Parts: sequence; C-alpha cells; structure tokens
Amino acid sequence: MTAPMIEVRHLVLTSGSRVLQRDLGFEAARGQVLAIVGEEGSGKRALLRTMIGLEQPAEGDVFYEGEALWAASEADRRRRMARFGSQLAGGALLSTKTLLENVSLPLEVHSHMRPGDIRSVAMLKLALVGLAGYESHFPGEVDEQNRIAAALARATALDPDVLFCERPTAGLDSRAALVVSDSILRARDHLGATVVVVTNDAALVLAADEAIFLGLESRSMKARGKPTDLRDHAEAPDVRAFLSGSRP
Amino acid sequence: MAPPPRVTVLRDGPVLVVGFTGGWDLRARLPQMSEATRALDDSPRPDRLCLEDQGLESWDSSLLVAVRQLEAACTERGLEVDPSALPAGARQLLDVARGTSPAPGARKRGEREMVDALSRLRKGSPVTERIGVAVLDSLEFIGRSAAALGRVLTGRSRRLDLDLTPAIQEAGAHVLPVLALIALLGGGVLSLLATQQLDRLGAILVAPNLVAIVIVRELGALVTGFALAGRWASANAADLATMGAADEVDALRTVGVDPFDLLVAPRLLALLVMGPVLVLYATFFGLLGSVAIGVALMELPAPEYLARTRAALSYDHALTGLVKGAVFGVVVGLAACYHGLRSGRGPRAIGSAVKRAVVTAIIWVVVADAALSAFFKWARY
Repeated sequence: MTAPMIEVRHLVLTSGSRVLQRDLGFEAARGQVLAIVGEEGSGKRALLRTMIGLEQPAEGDVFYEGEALWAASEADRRRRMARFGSQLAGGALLSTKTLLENVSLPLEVHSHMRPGDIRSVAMLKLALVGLAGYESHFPGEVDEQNRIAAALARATALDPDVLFCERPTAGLDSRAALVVSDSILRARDHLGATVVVVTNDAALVLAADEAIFLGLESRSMKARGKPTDLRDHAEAPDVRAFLSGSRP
Repeated sequence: MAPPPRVTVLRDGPVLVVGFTGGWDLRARLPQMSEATRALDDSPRPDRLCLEDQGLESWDSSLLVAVRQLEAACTERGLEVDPSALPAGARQLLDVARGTSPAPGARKRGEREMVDALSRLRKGSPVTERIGVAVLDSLEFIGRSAAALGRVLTGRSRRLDLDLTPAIQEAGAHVLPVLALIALLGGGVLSLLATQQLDRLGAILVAPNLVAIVIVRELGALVTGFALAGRWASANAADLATMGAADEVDALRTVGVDPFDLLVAPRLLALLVMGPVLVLYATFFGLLGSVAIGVALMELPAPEYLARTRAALSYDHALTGLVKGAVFGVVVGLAACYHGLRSGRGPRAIGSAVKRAVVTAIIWVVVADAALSAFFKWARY
C-alpha cells in the first residue's frame, strides 16, 4: 500500500505561547478534496500555513507521500514546496504586476521553460478560470472574484500535486462562490491535484470528499469524515447545523 | 519514469492527424509544435486537423498548451480542428479555456474594446487635453471643498459630532518642533548673510531692519508653508489614502455622509486657523535666531539691535505674513486632501499619494507666495 498523499501526525499548533490545536492527525488520499473548517481563532490559518511549509509547527509533522516536510532539510522542503500551489486569502496577488505576470511568476521561478512557453501556459491558466482577455489587467482593476480566480490560476500554474486554498469563497456571493469552487474542483478532476481548502462555506465543504472541523474551545479536532455523513450523523450538533444550513 | 512526450504527424488524404504519446509533464521540457504547424502548410493543404490520443501515459497542462497552439494555427488558416480523440478531461478543460462553457465574468470582446478605447482616451490623449482634464478635476475639488467649508462654518452640514481638536492638534502641536528649528536656523543664516554682505557696502547698520522685514513678511510664512507641506500634508494624505483603500470613504458615502464635510472641511478649517498662528510662532523663532547672530556679529548691544528691529516693523508687514500663512495653510490642505482622496488602491498607491501631496503642496506654496508678494506690491502694502 502506498503512503497517502498528505498525512498529518501529532501536530501541535501554537500562536506565541497560546496553543491553538493539540495532537491533530488526519490524512488525505491523492485526488481528494479535504476541507478544513473552524471558527475564527481555531487555528485554520496556522494549520494551512504549516502544511504549506510557511510556519513551523510546535510539534509533529506533515508527511507528503510518506516524506516529512518539517523534519526534512531546507533544500528538500523547498523542492517539495515547489510542487504545491497556494491561493492565500484574498488572492495575495502582486499589485504591481499584471494578472499574466502574476501567473507567470511560479513558471519563471520553478520551470526551465522559454518565455514564449511561459506565456502560453499562463494564458491557458487564465483562460481556464475565465480570465481570458484580462491578461494585462492589474489586480486592482478586477473584482474580488477575479482576483481569487487569478490567484487560483497562479496556484495551478505548474499543475501542482497539492493545491491549497485559503477561504477562496469568503466575501463572494453564492454565484461567484460557485464559479470559484468549480475552478478548484476542476484542478482536482482533470489535473489530479489533491486539494486542501480552508473554508467556512458550507456549500464548498459539502463538495469536498472529507472535512475536518477544528474546535475552538476543545483545541482539537471535533469532527472528521465525509461531509454528507457529518451533516446527518455528526456527534457535535453545531457541525450538523453548519452543514445543513440551519441554526444550532 | 514515463517515456518522454512525443508528437507524431501523419497525412491521411485531406486530413492531417497529429498524435500524442508518452508522458506529458509541465515541469519537463515542453514539446515544440513546429513540425505539426509546418505540416499545415504542406501542399496540397490539408482541410482538417485531427488530434488523437495515441497512447498517452499521462498528461497535464503541457498537452493543453500544445493543443491550443495547434488550434490557434488552424484558426489562422481557416482549418477545421477535430479534438474528439483526445482524452475527455483534456477536451473539457479546453472547452472551458475556449469559453464554450460559460466562462465566469469574462467581458465580451466588444465591451473589452470599448473599455480599451476609454482607457486610451484617459491615458494616451494629447497633453493639452490631459492638462485640461486635470485642471477641471482640481477646480471641481476646490469647489466642493469650499462648499463643504461653507456648510461647516454656517453649521448646515450634517456632520457626525464634528470635532476640530484632532485636526487642530495635527496642524498645530505636531508641526511646532520642526517649525521652530527651521525658523531659528533660517533667521540665523539670513542675519549672517545680510551682515556680511552689507558690511562690504558699508551699510551694515541697515542689516537689522532688512533682516526683520524679510523674516516677518516672507521667511516666517514660507517656512510655515514648507513645514506644513512636509509634516502635515504627508501625514494627512497618507491617512486619507489609507481610508480610501480600505473602502472607508465609500462607506461614508453609503451612510449618506459627504466625505468633504467630514474629512476635508475640518482639515481646511484647522489649517485656516493654525496657518497664521504658526506664522507668528515661526516669525518669533526667526527673529530670535537673527537677533542672536546679529548681536554676536555686529558688536552692537542687544537693546540697540532690538530697537532697530522694532523700528523697522509695522502692522502692515505683520499682516502680510499672517495672510500668507492662512493662504499657505489652505493650499497645503487642498493638496493633501486632493491627492489623499484621489489615491488609487493597493499598497503602492498610498506612497504615491503622499509623494504627490507633498510635491504639489510645496509647488503651490511657492506659487501662492509669488502671487501674494506681487499682489501686496501692487496694493502698496
């Protein structure tokens, strides 16, 4: 049996001297969409940043295909991170660069393509998120939905093994949220990426294969499983309420 | 290790068949489509291009890029493309990229062209036209500021507990230290130069009179203008630009508050009041510096020097300085508010707004100074 694409073991997340989450453990198979859900302050962002390789955990490690991320050498970690794509909250596009230049960035850094090829790939990626014709726009000139879409294009520029999305649908109306969610799911369906998405959007969570709920007070995982099962059978009433869209 | 990606080109009567095999990996080398593209121009020319999966081990975006290149080449030549023998996933993605499945939020071609034309008009129009637009824009801003100032002064503005204290503090207390330093040294240097140069002409005794008049009429007001431009305009343009970037200015509009009433008028009012006060303050320090240097250099007893200084001054001189102070204050305020509120969004916009505010403020202070000096000369003040 091969190792799962992502495996989180005994992870302890802290913020300063405060423990956010204790002893987190879960895994995701290749091609799965994993949703991370939790209240403000429960450590979703810290968990995502730890998995991406941006923030060292207090304890524990994240394993990709059986290889530890944090126990590895700096060079190995960088090599692994080059196979990730990340869409951070709000898009985090470079405001002084056009959308095309933003999407080209990972290609310029991590590939040995010729400039013409980089351009072709970046144009394709923008077209895939519905931004054909917006190549020379600056991030400030497009709306929030398109900033997120462009960030997704940048994150998927190199067909990543793992696509991380941070609150992709936050602040979007339900139609725009649907469009963005579709783009994310397409990356999984057609390009085989494993997707980790931090979100409090119930519709997006329900589209995931697996969801984990981080507890704010318990500082540990309070539910984990297939979202549709959790909606009907989760022990925690607030998890059921969140997924079924009713008030607890 | 997957075999390298390969492209085979085969001619079958009027149909050109391009087959894809091997493992396609974006991180490896992208196969070039030149051979297939060249085959499109063979004579007799093919009238159809068939794209086929002839044993792909794996594929990713690199395959899509290749197919799109071929498709573009065919569109140029008016050829038909048949992608039906490609993997289903690739076909779907290509449809999305082509926009046959409704692409989200993409503008239609016509709209896009109109937007382009508009931005060209804004960016690329002749210099004279752009200057005209800028002048109109500035005049509109000044008009709206004046109207807001009028509303605040007559108590007719729908203001939310308008508090002038912070604005006055910002325009007063925060400028004091830097202003004192500039005025003190400026007065000292002026006195030094005047004494030296007039001594050569044998007219050293008029130095105190000359220096005092220059400081009261000109130096005090000018350094006040510069200090306000440097300290006040930068801080306030940054404040306003930050508020704009965070949508706060628009939020004010949504609750029915005119940003000019709440943001511009109090600032202008504070500067209108504090301008003359600061000029008085700067003049005091300027005179202090000049007297100190003058007494030291001229070997004139301090009371005698002071008497000469006092004799040279009149209320008219003082008035010109104070009027200049008020005008400079308003000019600096307008420049800062204008560039602050007109700032774009994004991290770089705020820095750029601050820079423009300070530069504009300094330029207009100097221009206003020249205009006022000419006016006072004409009015024999």
